[in-house]
Amino acid sequence: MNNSSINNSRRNWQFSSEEMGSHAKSWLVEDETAREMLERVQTERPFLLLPPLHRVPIRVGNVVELAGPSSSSKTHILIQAAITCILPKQWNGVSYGGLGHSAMFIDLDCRFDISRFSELLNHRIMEAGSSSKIGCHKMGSEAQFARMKHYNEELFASCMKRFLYIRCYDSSEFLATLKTLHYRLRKEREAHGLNVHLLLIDSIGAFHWLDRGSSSFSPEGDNRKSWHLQNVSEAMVQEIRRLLLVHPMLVMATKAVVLGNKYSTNELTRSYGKWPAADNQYSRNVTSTDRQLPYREYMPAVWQNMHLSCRCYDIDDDLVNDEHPNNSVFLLEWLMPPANSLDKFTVTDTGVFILS
Amino acid sequence: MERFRWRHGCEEIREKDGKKDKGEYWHWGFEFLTLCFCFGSGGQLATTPAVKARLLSAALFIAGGSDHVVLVAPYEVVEPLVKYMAPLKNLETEYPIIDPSFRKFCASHGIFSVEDFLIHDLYMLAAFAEQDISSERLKEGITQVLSIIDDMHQPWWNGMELLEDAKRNKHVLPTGIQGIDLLLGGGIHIGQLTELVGPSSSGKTQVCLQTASNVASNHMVLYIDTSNSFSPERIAYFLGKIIDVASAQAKNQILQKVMSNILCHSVFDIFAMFDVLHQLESHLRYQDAGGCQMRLLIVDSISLLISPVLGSSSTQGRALMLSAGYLLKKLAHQHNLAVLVINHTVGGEGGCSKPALGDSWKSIPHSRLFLSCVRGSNDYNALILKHPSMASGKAARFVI
Repeated sequence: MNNSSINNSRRNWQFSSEEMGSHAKSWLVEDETAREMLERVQTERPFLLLPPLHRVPIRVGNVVELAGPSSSSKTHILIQAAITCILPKQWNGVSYGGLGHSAMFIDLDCRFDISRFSELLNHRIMEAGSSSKIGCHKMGSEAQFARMKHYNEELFASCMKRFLYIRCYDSSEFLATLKTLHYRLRKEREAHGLNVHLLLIDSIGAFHWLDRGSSSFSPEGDNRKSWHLQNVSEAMVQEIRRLLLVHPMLVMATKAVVLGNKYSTNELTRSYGKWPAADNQYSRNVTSTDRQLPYREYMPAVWQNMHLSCRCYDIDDDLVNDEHPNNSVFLLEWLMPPANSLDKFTVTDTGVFILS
Repeated sequence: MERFRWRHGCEEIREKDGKKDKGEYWHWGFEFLTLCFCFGSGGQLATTPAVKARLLSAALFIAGGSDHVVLVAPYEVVEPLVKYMAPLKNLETEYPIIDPSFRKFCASHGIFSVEDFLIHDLYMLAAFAEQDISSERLKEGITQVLSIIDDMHQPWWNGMELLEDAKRNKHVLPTGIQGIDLLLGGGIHIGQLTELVGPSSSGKTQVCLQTASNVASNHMVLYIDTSNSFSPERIAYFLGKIIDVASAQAKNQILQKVMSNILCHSVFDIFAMFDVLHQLESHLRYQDAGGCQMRLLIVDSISLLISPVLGSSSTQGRALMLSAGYLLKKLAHQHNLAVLVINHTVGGEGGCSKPALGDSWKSIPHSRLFLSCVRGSNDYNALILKHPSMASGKAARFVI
């Protein structure tokens, strides 16, 4: 008798699903057509080896978090990643080594400087142009020079159009952005044929204190979720996860942390270079020994479980840097997946260069 | 329904370290009218605008039965409430798809306002809607709410549009002090928040006064003064050096005109500063495009306003500080202002001084300059701690 009731219920379910199928109109969450699914699954997922994150092959679908104290070049790394993404692989005979896809930048710190971004993009374009065959010919004629400049400007414009930017002044705006991102991405794809490959979030913990200061009211009913730090973070992580299912992208987020006592957070002593050479052991003391983080983690567990993470910080090295004498040296350490050594790198206008 | 009786509601904000903060509201409900007042703890509006908004929304829900609600609250609290935190019922006139059956469906999942949609999983909601009888109507309703949510965030820009806006609107304002202008590559940037930090008598206020007098010749300046450091005589002195006109009468005329471009507000606590900034925001939103535009906002000094609240209650203090920072950055970007704030120093480890306001403040300003006076001369030193395009560590000397 049990069997027949199960059969009945299954038949009922089949009937009702047919009914619903015939009423299907434009849905909120529509199924993809087979072609769209194939396109999505067959999107090239190359491994991206962006310096200074080259030690771990990251690909589309990963979430990477860059943690570090303020002024440790985290945003600069994001910007260089964006530039690598929007530059084409090659254009007009010159190889730029980029991906030719769009990049989206969600600015939660609201400190992004577009003039600096365009300067860096121009530097990369010039550098690639000058080291190619075209550059080797003598720039004798004015016409050649003007044509080169024109090509560069065209390339610059097409790259800048592939860079999408938004700022959020609080968590509601950020959540609203994430919830409507799916439609935005679809619209960009249909209208301009742009595929977004990279999602950059500057300072994922920017609203942490603002949300903590928000109270936990729960009027009206037990099942109403209150606007609480926990709920907001969970909603944010959930949206990003769902987004990655449908739109495969590489997500890179920065996080500002406060390092512990052993590391001086006082930029004045750093800038004046008051550290004697002997104190360089500070840089070694700050690495995580026994998986103990030297900084206090403030992001909730849902976020921590989701991503790969690495940490970068500024050290005031007395090492003489022959090729890049005026630039600060930074250290990067992979926490997850854990690595045993540190990467030293420096940042210049033309990119990020590994020192060791 | 009880008439003519004041009802008192109180929400307790429990903080992690066990401290409690209270938010109170009073509402008087009649059948068709509800009056609602909102207070923070201690009877004053002592919380961030976001918290005030939540208090009010809590009160509104209780008053939900009335047809009309009269809110008595500051403007910045009411604005987000009207659309996003108020009950969904308010949206029915504008969006008829949000009808009672839709609202009942949402209520069964714990969603009562547009803001609740933000922290709920909309895909799950759509899946539930699927199983309901009137599934397409519900899904249309969800789509409608999503389009309302689409208005909640700032617009998306692409790189070219951002660059156009930067070239057209976000110029550089010279301070008039040669050393600083050279160091910063022209002066302070419009659209950015610049911080001047230094020990006492390191020339911070003088730099601000000089910058104000330099900018006031062409634009309006708002000077928020917390320590009675604004000095009209100094401004007149700086202007006297710049104005190059023969007759004393003409000089006086120009002086009057330029000084009338500088507005000075004295504030002595952070809430008064929030008030001034919100008034400024509504004034700038509705001002006409022509005429003398405001281009410079100076807060002398922000640390005096924030330090008292930072010490007392840990989370609220930091939340207030960050709200102030974001509000200043929003004003700078949306209304094309250069914002200059002054911070002081406190003792750090090893006896050397460090900037006040702690580590959370570090990520707020776009650029930070450390000023100090050079012993034995009238010169001052400026050191870049952080700048979007200059390397930190660059220093320069200047005279005032």
